[in-house]
Amino acid sequence: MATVGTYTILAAFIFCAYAVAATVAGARRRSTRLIESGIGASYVVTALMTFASAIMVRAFVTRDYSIRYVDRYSDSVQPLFYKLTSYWGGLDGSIMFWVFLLSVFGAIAVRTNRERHRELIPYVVATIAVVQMFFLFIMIVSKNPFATYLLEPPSDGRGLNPLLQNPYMVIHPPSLYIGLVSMTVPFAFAIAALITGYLDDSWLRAVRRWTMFSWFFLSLGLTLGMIWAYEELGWGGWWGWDPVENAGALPWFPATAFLHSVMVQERRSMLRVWNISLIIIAFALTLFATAMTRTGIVQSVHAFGEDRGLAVMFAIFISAVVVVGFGLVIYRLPLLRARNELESWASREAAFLVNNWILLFSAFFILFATMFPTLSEAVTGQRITVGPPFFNKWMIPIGLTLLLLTGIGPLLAWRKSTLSNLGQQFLWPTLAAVSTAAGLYAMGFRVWVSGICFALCAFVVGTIGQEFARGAVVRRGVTGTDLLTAMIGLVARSRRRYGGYVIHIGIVLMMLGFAGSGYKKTEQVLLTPGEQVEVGNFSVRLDRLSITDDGQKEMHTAHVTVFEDGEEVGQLYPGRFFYRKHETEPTTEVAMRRTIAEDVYVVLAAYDMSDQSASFQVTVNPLVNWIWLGFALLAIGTGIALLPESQFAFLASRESSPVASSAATPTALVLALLLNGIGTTTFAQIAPESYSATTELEADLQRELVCVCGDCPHYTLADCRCSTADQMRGQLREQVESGKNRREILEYFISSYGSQEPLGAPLDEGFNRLAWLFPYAVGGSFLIGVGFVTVRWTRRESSDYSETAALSETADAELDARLDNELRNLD
Amino acid sequence: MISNKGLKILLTAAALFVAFAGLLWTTMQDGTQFYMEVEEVTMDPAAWDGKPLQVHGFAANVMRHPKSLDWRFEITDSVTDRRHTVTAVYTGIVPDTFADHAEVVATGRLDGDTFHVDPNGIMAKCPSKYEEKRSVDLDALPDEHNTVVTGAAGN
Repeated sequence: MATVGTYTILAAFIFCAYAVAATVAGARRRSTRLIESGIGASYVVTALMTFASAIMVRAFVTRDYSIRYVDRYSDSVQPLFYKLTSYWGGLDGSIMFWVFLLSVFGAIAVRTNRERHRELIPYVVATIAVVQMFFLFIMIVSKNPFATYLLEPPSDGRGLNPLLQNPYMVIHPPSLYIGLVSMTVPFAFAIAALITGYLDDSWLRAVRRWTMFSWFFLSLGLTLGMIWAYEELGWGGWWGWDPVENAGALPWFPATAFLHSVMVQERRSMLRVWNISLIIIAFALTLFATAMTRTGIVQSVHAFGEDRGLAVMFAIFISAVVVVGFGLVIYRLPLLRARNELESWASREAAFLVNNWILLFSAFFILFATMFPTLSEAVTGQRITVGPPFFNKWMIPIGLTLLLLTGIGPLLAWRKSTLSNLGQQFLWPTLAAVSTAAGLYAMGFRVWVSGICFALCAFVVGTIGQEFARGAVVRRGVTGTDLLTAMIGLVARSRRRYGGYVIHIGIVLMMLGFAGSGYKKTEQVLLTPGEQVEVGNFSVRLDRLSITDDGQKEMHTAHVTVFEDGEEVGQLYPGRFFYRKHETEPTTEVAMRRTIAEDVYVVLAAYDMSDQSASFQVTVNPLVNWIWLGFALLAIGTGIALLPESQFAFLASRESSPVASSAATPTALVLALLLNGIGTTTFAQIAPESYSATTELEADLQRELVCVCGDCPHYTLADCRCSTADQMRGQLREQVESGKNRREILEYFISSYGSQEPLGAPLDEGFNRLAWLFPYAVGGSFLIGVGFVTVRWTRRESSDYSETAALSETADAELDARLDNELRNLD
Repeated sequence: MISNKGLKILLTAAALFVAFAGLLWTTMQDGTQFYMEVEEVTMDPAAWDGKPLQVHGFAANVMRHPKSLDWRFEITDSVTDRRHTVTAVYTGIVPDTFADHAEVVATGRLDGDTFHVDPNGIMAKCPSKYEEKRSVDLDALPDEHNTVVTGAAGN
């Protein structure tokens, strides 16, 4: 079956190549048949990758250890559940899982958008297929998960590391993968919109949900990773700023920024270049995150391994994505001009802009700090690392500022907030923050960072509570329902907005959990039976040690009793497990007493069975469970924001009754007045509609020329409905009918309008060529820079591993000799 | 000639850049550590005395003082050929896979010949590093299953 798997991967690569060729050729020749066949090929890739995945899963289940990958990551005693999840447990399989997920997401995205975004779909398919080809290429040339042993296969596998045999670790990687991989879909739509020039806001509608989906799974993956680290590793924390942790977080920042700034584009037609850039950056960072874990470019305790060849391939691909992406943005700048300008800094769009700057700064700061050892080594020859204190010094103020903006944003009106409006909106939230801070101070809390965080949390909760309360009261007045129904109706009418508020509450809870760590208490102590240690309000007493065995592992367990303020509150059983296949790698089994207020976290560090003495680390972690609760709320909020219209059909039908429909309008109006224009969610958008052209030349030029009315964001003549566009279309038809060629017609428009403004893109001549060359020059410089760093880094590393190479050569010689012997025996 | 608006933007950008660079420089003063291989440390220990270091290597002769969390071990540059060695001491909890042959990065300061590891300063390769590092030739070791070092870490 391994051979079938290998050929399936090869076939998937070929079908991807065909999908790219067919869809691009089809789009250029306007051949529906070619485009359809390209789309069909992309579906075939999905089927092939599903088949390849089935082969891999079958190999794990049937213990086919002739496949190296199966041997490395499973064994016969491993439970079926962990055998299945071993599929993505290693480097080769994780790359195949990447392609499998992308093929599924690609098929869903194409299927759901092929009618609505007919013009974009060919290039969406092509972009996704190119990304798939890159990962399939890696599998074909160096990381084939179906590689088999040339010699006799082992009778049993090596088994998955016991620390990974944990439910959180099973779902953490796929969650993160789903988040990383699904970011390809918004990128593909962005590239398609840039190539086709269909840069009105319709492409945003296609990607908004995908970005939110991706963002949610990134959040889920990061949270599960935190829970795993907290519960399994036994150091009492959940985030250590390790390069691989950071890599997973990097795309989260631009994705979060995009989810906010997309509202500014929808409402005010601003930040158009910014939004499309965020999508490109987010996708590039997903590739970077994937590369960082798999190539060992940065030293990490989490990295899969070190592979210079893979690092070079990723460097080239990421550079290509950045150069092509931003090259297209520069090429399409004329179509991406903002329709409006920022009117006041006391406006919601300004708050979103600042929030975006900070989020993007956070991403680049983390990137810089994570890459700092590699950069410093390339420049100075000395590898200098920065640790968690450095990250915390920067990220804590950044986090607090973002929390403040989370509260401020909803209080500001679009366009401009008046002074009286500001006073009215800020009064209660500010009072909540000040009274919280004063209360905490009076109670004797003196950890300043945590105190500020608590006050800001109160501010945000005050803001959101005020929004919900005002909206519900107004709606109750209009519809005559009770307050709860009014609130549900409010959420149903503006799912994105109120779903967003629920997400913000979730973030507040998470911040409370983070702030609680300021009051963390830890003790390390040696106890004999009957002795106890005091940590904060708690005491932990050792009762005895025991050894038990369940067949798969030997369990060494400490029996301890926990007291709170002198009263017994429970028993805990921290331990160390010795798995059969990994007896030299005992796993720490943390025991916790969890409450909403705090966790008592006990780790059995060392012990002596002969005299029953044991060393423990006991930690009291205040508010830590609020982090996980906050994530649950964040998930609920995301669900609300993502719910389709049909889920609220019952409310819509109710509102379509004469009474309700008459009530709906005043509700929106009153909300709009009360909240200074932020209550309405609908927004007039220009639906793209093609205007019939009589010749191919006219059709092409309708897409190359843009409307110059000044009101629309330079829609193409094929899309714009305004009277100026009508007039320009008339001029175009006259020119075409007079028999002029393309060049002459363009010159006519340039001379008629006195500049190249009506042109969607500058003419490719003279100084204008600089506009075309610029991204390639930047990209070229970037590639040279990457090459320089890679060469320096490789040189240094190669000297480190010269000894290894010698060892490997010896091993290779031994392997060759064994192989020769076996071949001789066969003869 | 730069317009008034241009000048304002330029000055703001310059002020922000200077503030950022200054802040970066200040915070980096006490936040950075030198990442060293064992061989680099042993070549001139006096040069690194008292400086914050991260030493990368392989653990050897790992010993715990009975009835305590005091550890003494060696960090070597190679599992098979221990040409360069630094003696390290540590008090506290170690990652699950911290044992002889474990690939580690220890954070701390050199005091004479002894490397004093900071609290929670031992990182061993995490299990999500599923691949064996190529510098450790497994076949060259006595028992390959016992030497695949993919230990937990205080991440």
